[in-house]
Amino acid sequence: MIIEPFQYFSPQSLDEAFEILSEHHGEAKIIAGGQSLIPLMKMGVEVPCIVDIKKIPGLKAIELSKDGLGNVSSIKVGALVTYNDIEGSNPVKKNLPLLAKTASGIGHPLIRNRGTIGGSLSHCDPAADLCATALALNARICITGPGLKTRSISADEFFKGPLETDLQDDEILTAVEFPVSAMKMGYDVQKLTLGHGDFPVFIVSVSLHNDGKKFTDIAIALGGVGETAVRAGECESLLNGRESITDEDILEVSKMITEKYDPPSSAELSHDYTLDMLAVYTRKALINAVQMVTG
Amino acid sequence: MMEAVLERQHAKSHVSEPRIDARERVMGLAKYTADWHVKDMLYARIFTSTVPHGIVKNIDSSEAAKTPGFVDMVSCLEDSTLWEAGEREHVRRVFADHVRFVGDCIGAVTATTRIAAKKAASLVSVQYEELPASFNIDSTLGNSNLKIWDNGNTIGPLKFEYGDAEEEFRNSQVVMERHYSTSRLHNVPLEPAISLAWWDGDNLTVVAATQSVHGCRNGIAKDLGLLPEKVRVIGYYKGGGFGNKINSMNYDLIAAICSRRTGKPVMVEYSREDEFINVHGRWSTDQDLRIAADRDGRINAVEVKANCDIGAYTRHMKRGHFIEGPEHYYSTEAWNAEIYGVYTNTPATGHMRAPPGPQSAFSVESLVDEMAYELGMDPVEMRFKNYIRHPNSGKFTSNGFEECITRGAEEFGWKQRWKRPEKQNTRRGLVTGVGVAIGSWHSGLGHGEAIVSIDSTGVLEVNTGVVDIGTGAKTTMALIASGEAGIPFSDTRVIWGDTETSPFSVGESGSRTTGFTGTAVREAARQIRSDLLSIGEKVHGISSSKLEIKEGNLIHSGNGNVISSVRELMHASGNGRITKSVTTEPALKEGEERFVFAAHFAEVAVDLETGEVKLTDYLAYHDSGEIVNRLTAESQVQGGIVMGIGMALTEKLLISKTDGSIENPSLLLYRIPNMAQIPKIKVFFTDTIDPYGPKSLGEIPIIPVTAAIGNAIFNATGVRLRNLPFSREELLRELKGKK
Amino acid sequence: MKMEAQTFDLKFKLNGKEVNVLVDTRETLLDVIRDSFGLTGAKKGCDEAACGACSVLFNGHAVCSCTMLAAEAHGGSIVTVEGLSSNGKPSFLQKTFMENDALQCGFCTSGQIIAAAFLLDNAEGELDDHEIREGLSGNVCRCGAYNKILHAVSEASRNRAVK
Ligand SMILES: Cc1cc2nc3c(=O)[nH]c(=O)nc-3n(C[C@H](O)[C@H](O)[C@H](O)COP(=O)(O)OP(=O)(O)OC[C@H]3O[C@@H](n4cnc5c(N)ncnc54)[C@H](O)[C@@H]3O)c2cc1C
Ligand code: FES
Ligand code: FES
Repeated sequence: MIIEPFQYFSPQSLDEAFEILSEHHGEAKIIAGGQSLIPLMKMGVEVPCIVDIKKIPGLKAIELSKDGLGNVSSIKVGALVTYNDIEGSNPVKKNLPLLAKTASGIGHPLIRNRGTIGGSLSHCDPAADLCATALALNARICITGPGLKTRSISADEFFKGPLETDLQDDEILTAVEFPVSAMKMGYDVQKLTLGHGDFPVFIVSVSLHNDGKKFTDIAIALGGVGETAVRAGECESLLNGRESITDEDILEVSKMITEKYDPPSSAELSHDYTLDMLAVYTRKALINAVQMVTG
Repeated sequence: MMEAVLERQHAKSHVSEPRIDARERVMGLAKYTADWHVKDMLYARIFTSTVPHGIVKNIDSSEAAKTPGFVDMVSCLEDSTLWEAGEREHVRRVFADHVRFVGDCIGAVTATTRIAAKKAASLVSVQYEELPASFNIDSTLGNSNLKIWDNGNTIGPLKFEYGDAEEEFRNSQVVMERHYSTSRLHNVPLEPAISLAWWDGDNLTVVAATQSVHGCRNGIAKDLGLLPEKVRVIGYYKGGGFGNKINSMNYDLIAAICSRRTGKPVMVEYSREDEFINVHGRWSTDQDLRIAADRDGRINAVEVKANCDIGAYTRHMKRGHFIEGPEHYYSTEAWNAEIYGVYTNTPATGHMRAPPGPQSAFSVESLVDEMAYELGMDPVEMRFKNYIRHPNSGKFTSNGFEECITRGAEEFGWKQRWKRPEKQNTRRGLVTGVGVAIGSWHSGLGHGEAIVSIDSTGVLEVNTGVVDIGTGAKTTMALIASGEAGIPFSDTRVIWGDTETSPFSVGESGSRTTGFTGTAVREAARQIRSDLLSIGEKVHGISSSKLEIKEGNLIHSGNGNVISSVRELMHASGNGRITKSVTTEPALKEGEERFVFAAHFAEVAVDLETGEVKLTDYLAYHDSGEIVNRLTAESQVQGGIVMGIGMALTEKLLISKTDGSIENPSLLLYRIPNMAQIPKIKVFFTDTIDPYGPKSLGEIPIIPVTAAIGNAIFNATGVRLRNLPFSREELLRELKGKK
Repeated sequence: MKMEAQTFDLKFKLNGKEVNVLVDTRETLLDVIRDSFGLTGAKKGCDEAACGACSVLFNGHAVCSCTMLAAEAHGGSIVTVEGLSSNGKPSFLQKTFMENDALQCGFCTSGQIIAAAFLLDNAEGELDDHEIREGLSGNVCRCGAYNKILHAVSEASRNRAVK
């Protein structure tokens, strides 16, 4: 039950939204899927003004860009696209299977019908599934501000801290753009949860390419191990450019990860166990990803 | 009268009827308490203690009263009503002035809307004089300054013994000693606690989410000093309870008190969090066990010493029976149990599906399994060798244990699937294993009342005080009546759930509805049939001994010809309606004991790298006597097993070490099983015929589950887990330790 | 000075009918369909998107109505379990729930049926057990009717695939 009263606005355009945001500067919050915001408000977080952006046209599209040869070069996913839309989108499944797989594993189906990619990234929970995968896929975040000024920054720059992003109070995340490569790709996402459909304790999202000779673009993104989702850069460079990746290499990387990153303990799982699992799940994800391009 | 019941020809039921109220439930038409909307209704919200133990010194509601919509506030300072059912050994007040846990109810605010009530309740400020407190068994036992209750902080010991245990332990070839523990749990009925009450002069009506309308009425009447006939309790639909909605609950009293004060109907609605904190769950146990056996597998004696954390209050009915049951699984020479209930400054405990059953089966059935492996015996053989044939003295009214164990093992394919544990050399991947556990449970008989009538159109009406919390009781009552009277199920109607219109029923707890109320229904329906036969004799001039009633028709038993329909018969007789009002008091004969039995078989897959356990197959074989309705009986068994799976793998109330409060009062953090975690559960019933009719069913299914799963984990990995819920972390640690 | 309660003039389609009601902005969709329209099929089991008892179809998608502001439904279409039957006759899916005994206390049932209806409407062929388990994993049933719910949904899916 939400106790404190609040104003509710439902602008029909970005312009109108920015007007409201500036009028209620510092007091207003955007609502997208509401699957984080509403629970927070029920817990007592006071939000005097809610701006529902779901009536604004153009934020729900999944758009493909093609290169000169007609190959898909990037996909722009509108802020209001839900996890379920992502999961079911053919172009996403084909070109960004890691994104589709990640989305299909978030919470449970009722959440997936409501939660949005823009909301998840803006909310910026360090262990959120999509934050890790956005990093792994080198996503760029498209932002619009007052006067319809647009800017775009990498996911990496966008995530600032727990529940903290580079978004200003009067800015709206409008889309997330993912580069697409024509190279052979391998990927996987693995997470530790306390129960089926639970929020991850941590998550490992892996993406890599193989140009026929060597492995490139190795991306290992981790969520839940720090203030925000992060890329395990040193570990990636250990594998980047290799002609082959063996089980031993993967074991070494998984071990290295546990030396560099520290998942939290909880009432139910000790720190030692969680750390052990970080190595196990990293290894599982890497093995599956490598097998996709070699096997 | 009883003789007639006993003489009835019993036959295995192949009846499988959908619930009589399935249509209302699937169409969203069934009205649960929260679905009632009465004119001028107000909402009440409780406010509770923020300290684990203390005396309320002052309550300031001035801020609360400023909330728009505020109507009234009541607290322990002006209302000292007792809630007798709330604590078995001591006196518990509805509004505590001596608070005993964080969340103990101190008072309630009434307002015009839910939001206003919640807001106002959050603004009430309470001052306390704090007292020493304890949050676990050890600190209660070790703290002499602690006074949770004036006359001592423990209940017990409950002692249960037969034979000479010491002698058996001395003389047996193998003795094992082990420690087991189980966690505090919550019933988590999907419908949170709720009550709606209003007064009409000095007549009180309560729409209660209770497991027993009559128990609820009697409790409320007693606590409020009213004559029972002044209180009407209505409980048509109820979203589960599993023991935590028995009889009158404090929130029923709170609704009545707030309504009396404001002169308006009042609804008390608990949030999920309130439900976790303010409605009791299962107590935890700390158990030391010893078992003595001979090399041939014969179990000679078992000893159980246990301390149970029963919270600040306990509703458990039978004095001290916090561990109970396994003494009726095996024929041993000796049994020795010594059980204490230990109070702590944590939320209340009480009934939850077979209250002490699964805690007790977990330890004993794990230990027997350990002994089987120690002796190099097949665990099924071990059970077969020792299962109880006869009680210590006297005899069972019926005993299908053997069939449960042997047929269950056959259906499961135990011989092919069970393997002796081998040393695991792999470090990765999945390993599977199988486990077995058995159990038994009481099957009482007792006072039943029913009114069964047939109207001029041949429609049979069954009126009992059952509530049907999901057990299918209404359907069962209708099936018993329709079968006994010879009227088709489709022409059978039920009246239920209202103390004003229905006769007394014990309600749905203790697996008693079918045995108690069902017996009365059967007798009343038999009388209806017998009247119909006499009418047949009168109308058609054929001796009633040559007549039968079947499927709504009067039949000539000689040639099987239909003489007339019951409807025509009723018409011809000129009788408007025949009504039989019956009270039955079936009782066991001297020396008789009546039990139900079960054997469960589980298969698990364990991930050797993560310690994660996945249940991959499950089979249950039950003796509950005659099964009135296969379809709903199977559902009851599966439901109990699902709850047992939660107890084995995920469920645990986390109790704060610093103030005894519940740290996970949310469905996001207290994990009940969801569909993705539940395997196919095959259910079988024995052909056992019990002379007293159908035996109990609702509770036994949860009893063997945790041990069956733990035993399967051992079979898969060679690791024995002795604490519930099983921890993947502990499993992994042990697995690594074994390398 | 604290803000006073704010209202919102809500218009939406409820089980096929255009409706209009003034709501408090704090009210969830669940509160409004239950309290203002008396459609009590959807239940409040947790109020935190953790049980699924409050499931309704919003523009064809199964969602937790407890975790949606009523105002968010403006201009949309809501179907509750009451809206699945026609002329007092249960739908095929509701019938498979009845016949398979896919319910015990019935408190989760409306939510299960709504989530299953969404699953069936979006299935490409016959649903396998895994898809049903996953598809209904947001709808908990404390009575543990899962095996029977699986049967019911699977039967409904088979029936559709045949058609
Ligand atoms: C039961 C349950 C289980 C869950 N399980 C998981 C899980 O397993 N994994 C997981 O990752 N998440 C999980 N979630 C969270 C879920 O993914 C949320 O949907 C997500 O965190 C927020 O997305 P939303 O669209 O609902 O955003 P909202 O709740 O609407 O908004 C969240 C925040 O982002 C801001 N915001 C939203 N959109 C924009 C925008 N376009 N521009 C600027 N700011 C914006 C809002 O102001 C708010 O501060 C779960 C939630 C619940 C209730
Ligand atoms: S009440 Fe909405 S999910 Fe539980
Ligand atoms: S039938 Fe009771 S919760 Fe599902």
